[in-house]
Amino acid sequence: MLFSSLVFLYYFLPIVLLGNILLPNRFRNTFLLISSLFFFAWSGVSYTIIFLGSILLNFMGGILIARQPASSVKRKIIFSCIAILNLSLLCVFKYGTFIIENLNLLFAEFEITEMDAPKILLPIGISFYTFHGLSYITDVYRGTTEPQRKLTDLSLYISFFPQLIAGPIVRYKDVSDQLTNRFLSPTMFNKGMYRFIIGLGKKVLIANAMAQLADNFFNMPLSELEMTSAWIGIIAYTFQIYFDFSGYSDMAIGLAQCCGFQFKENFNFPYLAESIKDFWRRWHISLSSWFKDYVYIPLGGNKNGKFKTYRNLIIVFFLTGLWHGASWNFIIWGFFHGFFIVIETIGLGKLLEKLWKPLRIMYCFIIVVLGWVLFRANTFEDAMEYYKVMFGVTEGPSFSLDALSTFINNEQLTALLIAITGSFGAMKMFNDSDLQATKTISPTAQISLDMAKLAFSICLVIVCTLYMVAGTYNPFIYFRF
Amino acid sequence: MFSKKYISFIFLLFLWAPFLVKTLNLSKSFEKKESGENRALKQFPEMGVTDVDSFPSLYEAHFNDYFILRNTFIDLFHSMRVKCFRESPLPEKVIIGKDNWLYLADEMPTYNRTARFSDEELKKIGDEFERRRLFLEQQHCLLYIYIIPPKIAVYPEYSNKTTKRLNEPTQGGQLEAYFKANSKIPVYYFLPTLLEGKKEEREHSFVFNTTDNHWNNYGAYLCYQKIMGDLTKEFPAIRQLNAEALVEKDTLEDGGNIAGMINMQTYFKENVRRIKVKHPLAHESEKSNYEPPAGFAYPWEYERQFKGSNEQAPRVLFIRDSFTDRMMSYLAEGFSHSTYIFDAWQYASHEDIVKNEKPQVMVYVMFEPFIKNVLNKSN
Repeated sequence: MLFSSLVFLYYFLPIVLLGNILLPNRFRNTFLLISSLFFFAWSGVSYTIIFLGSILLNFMGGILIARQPASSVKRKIIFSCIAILNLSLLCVFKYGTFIIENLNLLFAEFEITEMDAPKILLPIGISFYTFHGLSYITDVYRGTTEPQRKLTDLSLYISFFPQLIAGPIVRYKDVSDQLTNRFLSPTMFNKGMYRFIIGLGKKVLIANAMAQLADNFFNMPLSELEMTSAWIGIIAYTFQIYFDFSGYSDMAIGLAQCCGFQFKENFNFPYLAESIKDFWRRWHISLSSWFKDYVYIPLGGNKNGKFKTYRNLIIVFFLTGLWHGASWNFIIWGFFHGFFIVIETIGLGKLLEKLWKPLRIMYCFIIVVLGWVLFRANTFEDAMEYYKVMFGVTEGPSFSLDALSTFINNEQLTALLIAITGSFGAMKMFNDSDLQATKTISPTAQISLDMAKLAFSICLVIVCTLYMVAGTYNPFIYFRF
Repeated sequence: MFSKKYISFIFLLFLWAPFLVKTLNLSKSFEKKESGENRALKQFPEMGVTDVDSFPSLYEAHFNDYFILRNTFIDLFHSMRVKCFRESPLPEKVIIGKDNWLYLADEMPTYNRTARFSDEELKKIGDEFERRRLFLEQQHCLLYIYIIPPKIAVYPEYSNKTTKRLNEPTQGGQLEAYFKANSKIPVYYFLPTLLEGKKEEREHSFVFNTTDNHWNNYGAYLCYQKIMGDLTKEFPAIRQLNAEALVEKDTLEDGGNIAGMINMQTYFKENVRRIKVKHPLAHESEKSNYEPPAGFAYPWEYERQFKGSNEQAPRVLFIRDSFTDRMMSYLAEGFSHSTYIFDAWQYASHEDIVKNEKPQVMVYVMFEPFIKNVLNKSN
């Protein structure tokens, strides 16, 4: 079930929100758990068994680990087994086919009989719930958090529907208190709704329009693509992925807030970053901080000399790339970012600091945009061909403004302008805390502001609903057989 | 604090509104029933142990189809796209061109030559029609084939899409050339006739409707002249109507079928020139009640029979589609008896109908993007 679907917005969500408000506190976790499992099952009933297995594994694992004395070998072994089982689940379902396909390529070189590559369907949210489980058992193993002894509470932490399909990756220790003790006020509920609606608008109105624009160019035969089109295509994708992902994060954070939970921010204007290092402090913050805490620091971080620091950075970015998908393009994309982080650490970072701020932002933006080509292209070869067109290293037309009039329509142009202004700071106006931290306003003004926000939000939902309903319209002029 | 609670309540009420409106049946007076979708809506899916994985998506499709005020919302969305952005609400299906000219996106591949016949396909179609010709010869019946080009081929200049097209013949052109080189069957592509007619367009009259994918009465009349000109060479007794036998009337009408696809017939109005036979002598006669293909959306259109006044003229069988609608009244005047079969764009051989109707001439009037259906196994 997608957040940007009618069935979620006008069927699942109203029931869950009303139920959560009306039920006494002691029933809320169970109610939210049942709702979350229903939400998960909607995307694949059969996979619910694997999901429940994963929850049970981490629940039992947490208790077993906590029973062993700190720094005992047994504790280490149990932790390792649970971690390996979690990762095996991810490996089988997410990377199984990819691994076999690549092994087959290797076998072909040595004339070894190839294995059958099974077509495994990816269970929804597996990357997120596996990382939730891993962070929980790691924290229990480290002793930084107490194990959860109520199955419903741990299940709710792992399966809570707002963060189930697209994150953010929430740490157990960040919400463990909220699982047992939280307070839902009308102010919090309203803030959550505003946040959810802004996210919905980002996804439905901006990201989808940018997706259509990017698809125009990425679906075009590369021989017909020229430089301007290639740049417009990747710029559109740059905004598509940001508004899509940050829109989902906004919706998740907002929905959690409506249910009384506070999640940490996942994006902080990443296209305003002044270096790639800075970019990863602003983009998918929950993932980068997860890798920092559970991979980079355990590997030694930057404490063991330069070369080990570079090695650790490269490992982290290899894993970051791999986490995004089972494809060489993602792995290379990870290395690409890792490479820039390393050279910034070596000395480029110091040079960048001397530049004028807009130039630093431009440097980072261009690198990120170039990286997205690897992310969006179907194959590595396609990405290379796309780069050639972008830099005019082709025999075809190198520069033409035809693309502007032919492939960008007025709606996409409007969305693109909103995306540009939104990505570079204008969205800050929607940030409540900024507004209220700096200004104290009179109660009357506050009511007016609330009413204006309410009216804006409802208009935005109505427009999003129009788009969602229109997406179900599928006319036929001829009945085909 | 009161205002905060009030806002929360409004949010909740808003999310519950569709359910409440539907349950309390409040939408009756303002729910728009008609839709240009031309498809059956998804029914509530069956739920069994084996259907658990497919149930959610089927239910969601049903939920979406029966969403409260769906048609009203769709109309609003279409109006917003067209009026605010000047964009097609369904760009993958409908293209809005200059001066409110509408095109079907489906017809683009025929125009830009991305849809072409391979040599093997041409031979298969050629062999199939050769087989039909031999059958018809045994029935003492001649065979003619006419191909109608899509609107975009005749009026590319009103399309905003600057589509690159290959410098190759279209499917219609391919077929015409193939038959000319390999067969005795006369095959004619209407494109030159329509382009010629376009040059001589009279005031306010194009050869195609601007908001419909079909030709208008004038385009139909031009192609009627072409058909009759060809047939009178073999059958001089055929009565061919000239301009004096017709009466014209201009009316401002709601948009055609493409405007209907986006539910905007009243926005995309069109000045339509209706051309009728001044003194019709032919009349629609009793049907033989041939069985239409299963699932055909317009079964009442499958068979039409006309009795003409000229007993000396031949009997004719037309295998047609919706394009022939606008020339049927002219055609009927020319023959002693005419049968029109609309076989869901299959352009099949209909040997039983031939045996029963005993036509002296059989005419296929085929729409270019659908000629490939001749290759269907069912044919």
